[in-house]
Amino acid sequence: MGFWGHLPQQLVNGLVLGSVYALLALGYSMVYGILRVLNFAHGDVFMVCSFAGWAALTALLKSRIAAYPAVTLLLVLAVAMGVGVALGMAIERFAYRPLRKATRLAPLISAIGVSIFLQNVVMLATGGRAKVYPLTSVIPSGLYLKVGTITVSSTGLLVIGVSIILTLGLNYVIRTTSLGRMMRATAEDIEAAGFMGIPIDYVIAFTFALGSALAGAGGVLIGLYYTQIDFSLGFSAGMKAFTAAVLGGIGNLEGAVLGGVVLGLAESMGTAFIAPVYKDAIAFAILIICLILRPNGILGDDVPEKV
Amino acid sequence: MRKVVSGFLVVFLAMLAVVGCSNSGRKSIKIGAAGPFTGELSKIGLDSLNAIKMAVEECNQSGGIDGKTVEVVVGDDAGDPAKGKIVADKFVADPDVLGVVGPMNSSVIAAALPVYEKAGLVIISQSGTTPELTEKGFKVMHRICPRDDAQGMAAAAFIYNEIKPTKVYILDDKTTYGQGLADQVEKGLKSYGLTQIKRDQVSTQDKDFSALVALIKSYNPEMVYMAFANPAQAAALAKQLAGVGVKPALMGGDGCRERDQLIGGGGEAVQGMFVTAIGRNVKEVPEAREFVQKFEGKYEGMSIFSGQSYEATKILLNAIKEAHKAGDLTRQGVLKALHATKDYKGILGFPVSFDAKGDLVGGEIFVLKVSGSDFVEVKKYTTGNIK
Amino acid sequence: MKRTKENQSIVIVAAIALGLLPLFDSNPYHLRLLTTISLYVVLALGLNVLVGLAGLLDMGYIAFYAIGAYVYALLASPQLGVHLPFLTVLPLAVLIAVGVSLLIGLATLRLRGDYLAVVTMSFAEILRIFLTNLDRPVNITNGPNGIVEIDPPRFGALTIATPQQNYYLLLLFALAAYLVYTRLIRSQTGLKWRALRDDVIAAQSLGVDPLHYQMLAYATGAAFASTAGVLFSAWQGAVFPQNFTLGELITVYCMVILGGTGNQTGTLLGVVALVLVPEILRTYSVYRMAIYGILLVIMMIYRPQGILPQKPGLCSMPRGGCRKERKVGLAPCNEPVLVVRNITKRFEGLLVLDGVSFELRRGEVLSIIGPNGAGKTTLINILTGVTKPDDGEFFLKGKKLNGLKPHTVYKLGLSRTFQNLRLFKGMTVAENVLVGLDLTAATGAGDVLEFLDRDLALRQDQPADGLSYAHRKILEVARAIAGNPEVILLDEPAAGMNPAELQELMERINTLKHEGYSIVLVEHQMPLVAGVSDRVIVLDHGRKIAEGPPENVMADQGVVEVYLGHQIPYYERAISQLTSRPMLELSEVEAGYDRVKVLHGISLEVKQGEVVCLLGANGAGKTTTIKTILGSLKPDRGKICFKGEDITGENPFRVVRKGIGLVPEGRRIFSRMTVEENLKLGSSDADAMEYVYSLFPRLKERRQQRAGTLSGGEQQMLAIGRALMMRPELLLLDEPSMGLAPVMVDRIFEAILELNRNGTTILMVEQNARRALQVAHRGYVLQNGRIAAAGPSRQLLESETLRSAYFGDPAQLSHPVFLTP
Repeated sequence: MGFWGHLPQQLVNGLVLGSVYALLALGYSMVYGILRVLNFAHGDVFMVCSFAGWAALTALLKSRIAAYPAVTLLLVLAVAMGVGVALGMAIERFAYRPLRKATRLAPLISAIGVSIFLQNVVMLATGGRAKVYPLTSVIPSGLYLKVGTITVSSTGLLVIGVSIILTLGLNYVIRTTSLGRMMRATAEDIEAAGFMGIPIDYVIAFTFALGSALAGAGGVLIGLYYTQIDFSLGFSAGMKAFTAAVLGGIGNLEGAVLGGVVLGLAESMGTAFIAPVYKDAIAFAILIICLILRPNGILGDDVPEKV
Repeated sequence: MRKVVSGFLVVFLAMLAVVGCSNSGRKSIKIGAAGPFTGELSKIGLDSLNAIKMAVEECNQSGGIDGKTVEVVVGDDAGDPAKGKIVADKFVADPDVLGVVGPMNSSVIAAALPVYEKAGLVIISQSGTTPELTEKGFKVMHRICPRDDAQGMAAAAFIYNEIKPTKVYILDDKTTYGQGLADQVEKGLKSYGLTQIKRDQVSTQDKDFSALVALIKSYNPEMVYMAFANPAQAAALAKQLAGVGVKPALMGGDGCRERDQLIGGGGEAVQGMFVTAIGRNVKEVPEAREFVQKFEGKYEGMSIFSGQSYEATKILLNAIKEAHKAGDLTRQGVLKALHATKDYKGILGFPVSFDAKGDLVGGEIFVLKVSGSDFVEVKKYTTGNIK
Repeated sequence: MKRTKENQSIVIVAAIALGLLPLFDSNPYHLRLLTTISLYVVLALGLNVLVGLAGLLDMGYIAFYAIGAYVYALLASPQLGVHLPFLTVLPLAVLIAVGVSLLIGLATLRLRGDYLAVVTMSFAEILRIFLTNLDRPVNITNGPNGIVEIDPPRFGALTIATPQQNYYLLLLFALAAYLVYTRLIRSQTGLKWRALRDDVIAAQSLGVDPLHYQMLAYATGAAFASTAGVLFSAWQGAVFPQNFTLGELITVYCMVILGGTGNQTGTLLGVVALVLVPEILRTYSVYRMAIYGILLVIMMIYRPQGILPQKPGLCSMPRGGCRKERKVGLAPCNEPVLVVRNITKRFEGLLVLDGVSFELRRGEVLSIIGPNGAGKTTLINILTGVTKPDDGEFFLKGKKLNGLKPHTVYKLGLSRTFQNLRLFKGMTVAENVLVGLDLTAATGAGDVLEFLDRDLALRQDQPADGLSYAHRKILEVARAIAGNPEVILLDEPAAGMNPAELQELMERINTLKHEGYSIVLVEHQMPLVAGVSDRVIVLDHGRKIAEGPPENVMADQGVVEVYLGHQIPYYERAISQLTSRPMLELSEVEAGYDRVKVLHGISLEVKQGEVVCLLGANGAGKTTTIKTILGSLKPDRGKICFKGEDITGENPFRVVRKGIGLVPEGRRIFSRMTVEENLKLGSSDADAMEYVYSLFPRLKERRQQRAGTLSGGEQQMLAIGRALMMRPELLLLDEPSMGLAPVMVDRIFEAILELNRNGTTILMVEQNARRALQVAHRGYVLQNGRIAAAGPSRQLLESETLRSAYFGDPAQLSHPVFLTP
């Protein structure tokens, strides 16, 4: 069909993938904006929540609620997001907070440690095997939308839809609520925020909670979309989401969304036109090029060091 | 500083002493069980391990060998050739291990063979199907399953004669098994004159097939062949295809012949899918009835390789007994005895012998179809006679 | 010296013991374990160079290991049909790995810690993906199925096949790696790596070229890793992409971190532990990685330096020698050695330096003084190449320095010290000096120290971190002269010193002067300036406003005004109803940072309804006092009471809620948020907002504008408004007039007056003393952390005490002056 023939379909594929990356990227950006720390474990929180969603879905399908797919889905999302919030806040409290005054590298190593730990715990719990999202009970299979040469599965539409809703929700919280204002202030100038009487520890905990809730939702969405999840999901998704965040300019929330979509597109197109097996390599290459040429991302701003 | 260094030397030597305690002198007879007991394929692996253990128990209950009980040493390779080599090192280093049942994955066998060969430790695989394994002159290699050149040819014959597609999309998962099988199927189809064949690969960890699905959709083949070692992957791809309304005929290799993950995981999307099987469903073999009853009574699930594993173990134990009788209870002796196995009658329903290369003499390939929650047999081919 | 001999003998004994081991124990399993240990020793030491010595968090290190392994696998196996001997492939593999590492080093030069980690990790992953997929269309690496049947190492007729032979081969390499590492850590390269790791900026200012040393670190690490890779490949006989995952790297990291980053014996311990323990606990091996994960977290929190931390004092470069006389008086004394012309610099629209020009003559001490924010440190940063000026040029001995990097500037003969002390904390006194040492001068670190401070020389081998503050300041100076520079720029060397220490510093600077060094001194302590300078320059708002001998300059009215503000008429402040109990009370408060005491017992009070101002020169402790009241700095001693309640050491956010508001120095508004959002941060009190808008109508006009777009004066209004939103009873203002044009200053002070009239009590810190006293009821004058004078504003304004507190002799301090109405 040639390049141009494939293009629209791959664009749409990229959009679906990109919206999940965007949800994750938002979490990275928010945490980095405030603490200047890469929450390496973010991707693995995503993965754990994916399993939480699976567990919830499997349990709910045995109950009477299964008759109401919309309700089931909402409950599953709620459970996954709840697990995310709890996990995210626990990680902040026990692995990052003690290191707030330490050297730059200590929190990063700690984060890597948490990531390894989560991955392996889940691996042991699942025996290394993938779990299948019992999708068809919730969403009738074979349901799709066809526009011209483009086909989007119903799950794909769901993923895009939920992502948009959550992103708008986050935007609302950040722009209009007082907690959102406090978050923005803390991200810009943590010391001055303290002077204003803003309870920094609570704001940080809340930021982690918010970011992890989004990751939780993303975990469910990816489970629905891929239909299979396993413990290694976190690392690659995490790296890609981080790429998306950096691409858009870390600390910058609009950038995170933009980055997510751009990355999703690049990956989709790259897969179609180079080879599916090099998919991850393409994403990593983009990350490297971006960080070397334009470390502040597309929409990001400079943070010079004081002498 | 000096205290620390001498301290650590002391501790180090002590540790070494502790670690080394258990390794000296031949005290028992051991056979190694190599397979994917953790990881993506662990269900299949563990079902096989149970069968191996059962066979060994039976042997021990009837007096063991040379008055000694036979022990099973478990070597988990997780389906990963790198780990397989470490398992091989481990088995080789233990002088009590006289033979190995497994490994189960062709890529693992390929990685481990040089180690086993060097030590003269015989292996008998229940499921390693890649042809090259017996073509390189390794004396220790034996298998009781047909090879993929037969399987691939059978698949090609079936596709060409029964499905009659104009375009075929062949996928593999980059494992030795998958690539090999896909190559054979492609070769077979080409020999029938089919030209519109597209090949692509995925990696064993891939879950996101959206781009691949788009490619398949635009190519619009009537048949998609999936040479995947992991049935869960085939199920996922089938679902994702169905999700965008793409419904070609589907076929998988013997790796997909599995109920829970393929049929259970795939649901609607895999109904009507074909798979090739390298042996008859052991439940349908009259000679195996006792085995099936006992196994299902003791363990819950059974996959196709349970029967094969049981059989392989019994053949190995038999060889060890023969070696003992011949007064040569060494690795060399066991190798010789195993290689000389002729017309062994076990639960497979046909007599087992090995040819000079270590391949199974005889053997059948079956084509099955997913119907409801199980497979039904659709066609049978005998190796050596596939058209 | 003694210690090294001791260590060496231990190593020799250990080596002999290990060498004889196979004769007693031929169990192949044991030998296998020991051989594995040797392999990891090589691998871990290489990582230690990168992480422990150079401070580079290379998360892609495993890629070099993979390169080594695969190059050997490809060149000595049936895969490509090539069978080269071991000694041919080894250097080739190392070369390739080093080449790749240099590329990576070049690409990641400017990246900070966490970005570096991520980029290097991505490189490694990309490599692994290629290794996994380069089997189609052309089979190079055989993909996930790996390359097997690799040739064992062959040296001519000798093939290394048995476990014993492999054991010895790898043991040899492990010993070699250990020795190389030990040499490195004691060498000058090791020293400079550690300097870069501890403080990049300070290292650069001492001539360490980050590019050169980082690349060297990468190359060294790559050499170690690729050697280990070749050994792995040759010994195991098979390689797979799965051998080179992140998980494998984490294991090596754990070995390094657990054992002690930077310490090679620690690494040995780490390797032994993490190879043997999993073997002993084989049944739990499946939990291994999970345990490593938790281990990393716990190590970082409780013992980040590892079991055997890296001790300072490793460098074994020469200490003694005889100090040659400096080439003094070779050129006429008045020849300019540093020429600065028309330097201009803007930061975010603010003009920090405006056409500054001056000359420094050989052997002269030139002091630059000026109030806070005048641009002095920026000037030093520009001269040393840390920042680029927007306009202007500067020359050292006739050579133009514009655009040169800091390490080049150092090598040309211009060195500096730092306002905020940037010593290399992980090093001893002598090592700090060694970093900047000019190796061709045949003087040792000891000599430099002797020359400057005998006392310090006696402490040569002590960790730099353990010295007293004054000693540390002197050490920085010693470090700066180690490279025999022409010109030294001293940035506030006297900060935090007591009069005795000040005196000694003065003597030292004079010694340096007599040795022929040319010195630029940036200072606030006027007695020091007066005591050592030949000439003085005064900067105000980025412009040079006076130049000349110290007596002239410091007596000049214009200069005094720069510090104290213009002479202005005084408005009588009606003292309103004052309650007897003070609203805010500080008693004998002592506080400081980083073992430097800034406040030496401050007592003051603010009564309700008052405007009290806190005056003093820069560095006197004004902002520190504010921080202590607010709680962002916990006092060491003393008590702070607000409305009768003890708030000493409370957290800022609690203090703020009790009714104290802060308008911080430099405003610190949130520029990305709108005016209204900034206000709402304080509270959502609609009435309070109305009050603020009535006080500052300009803010109301711009309520939806982003705060970053407001002018300086408007931002100050916003800062005040923001604090007012919480309806504070006491408002603390830190330098409200700083950086504002005079007209705006007027407006702000008008607003302050208005606030006070409406009932808000105010404590204001101001540099512009006269202006502040104009609106205040009372004032306190701080000097060197003590109250030098206090009293009603009129009296303070008219007394000499004010001037002498800024310009006078700190020895007078013992008698604080309390004026009465």
